[in-house]
Amino acid sequence: MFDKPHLASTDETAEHAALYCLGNLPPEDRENYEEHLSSCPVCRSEVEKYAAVIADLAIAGGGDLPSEARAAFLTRVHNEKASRERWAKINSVLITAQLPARPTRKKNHEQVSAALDELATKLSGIEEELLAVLVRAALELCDAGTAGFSVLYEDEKVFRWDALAGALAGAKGGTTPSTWSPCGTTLDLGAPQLFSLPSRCFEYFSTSPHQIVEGLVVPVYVGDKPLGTLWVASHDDRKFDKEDLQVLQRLASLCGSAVSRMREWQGRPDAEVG
Amino acid sequence: MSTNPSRDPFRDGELPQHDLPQHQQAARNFPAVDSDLWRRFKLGDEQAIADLYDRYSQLIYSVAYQVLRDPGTSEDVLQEIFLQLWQVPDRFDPAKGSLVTWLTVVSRHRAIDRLRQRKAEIDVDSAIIPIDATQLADAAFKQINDKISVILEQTPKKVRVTFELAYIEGLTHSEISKRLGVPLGTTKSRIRQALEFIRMKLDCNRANANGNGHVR
Repeated sequence: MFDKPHLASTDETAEHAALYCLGNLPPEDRENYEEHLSSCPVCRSEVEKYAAVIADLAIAGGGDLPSEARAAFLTRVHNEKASRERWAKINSVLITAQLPARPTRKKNHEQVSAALDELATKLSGIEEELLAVLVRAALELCDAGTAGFSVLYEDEKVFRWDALAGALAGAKGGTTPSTWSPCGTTLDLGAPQLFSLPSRCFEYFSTSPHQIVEGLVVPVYVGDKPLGTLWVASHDDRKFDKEDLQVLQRLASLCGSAVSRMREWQGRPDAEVG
Repeated sequence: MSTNPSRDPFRDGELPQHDLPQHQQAARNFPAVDSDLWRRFKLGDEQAIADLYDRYSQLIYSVAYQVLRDPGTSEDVLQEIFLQLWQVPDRFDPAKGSLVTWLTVVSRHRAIDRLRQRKAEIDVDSAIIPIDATQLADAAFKQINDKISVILEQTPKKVRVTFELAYIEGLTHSEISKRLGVPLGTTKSRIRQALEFIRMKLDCNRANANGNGHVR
């Protein structure tokens, strides 16, 4: 009955259109009928006719749209549009999907063990020292140009580079916005991310004395709460790979556990300050 | 209405103007959505979104409100439809009709779906008590705006009861047939008769309001 276009209006075409417009067709029939409409001008015409009656009835009997609805809707559209544009820009520098396909350099087990041993000696110390050792280890193990630890300061809505090693070490204490940065993006996505020439998106990097060619960023958590990110950057043709990612993830995991224990210890009544 | 498969898909049908309050008449005036406005809307132009919202928001809200009788949920339906249209403009296919028709039908469908969902939740929690279909339709009738009631009162009782179960209660044609104990064909026919009758009455009202005395 509704598998081919109709040649003329009939009681049946009119009845079906009426049921469709009123929403009285079961959902599966609704979809089939909508498919039919694209090829049947007769039924389209019936639908136009009855939809106009329903619109008439609704306008005659419907309530007034609350005046604040317009502003609420347009604000929502504006915010979603801004978010969409923001992510389009971020996606233009995100190349995380390339990591699995990249050739992996040979793992240096001795170097990794030595770095982890040194880190273990700092586990009961203070956070600042731990982070300094951590970024030095990341710099060496990943053969990076710069390595850093960005701590999230939620009140100030920034990430602060509390530990840096390598070419950009002099920028220690610098900040990036928590909502517009590779670190913020990594925490938003809740997984490690690889960025290519991030200054194309995060314009403030363009003033860096050493251009960041690639940046590999991993999130660091204390329990469920984000502490910040551990990252490495290249300033030349160095390409990070899965091996670098594994090293950074191990360091990040160790750091999260260590900071958690340190903070627990500092919270004990018998803990000495300083 | 004549059929014209090659018509301009952006030309919306004009709704009849009749004796409504001024603020409602304004909402009934649906100027054509030209291809430039639709193109800008599809590109995400915020002014185009605002323009389309201004043209159709009252219509969508009213259609939903007729079914849901709840300002908050009706506004949700309105926002949902506009956001989805903005995010995926191709949901509206000009090959299947005009934009105003599509919005009217989609609003009605969304509202009916929510109404059925609401009823299903209530039915799970409470024992189903058989209700006489005429009583149900009478209860629904009380909810209808006076202007619509005047028109519906002039329809034969059986046609009116059937239409109200469809229009206000949002029942499917098979549910209505079961409630009323009549064949499916009878239910379908009565619903169509009701819509045709209302359309004719509205056209008469419009003709009278325009002062030309022409009655179809």
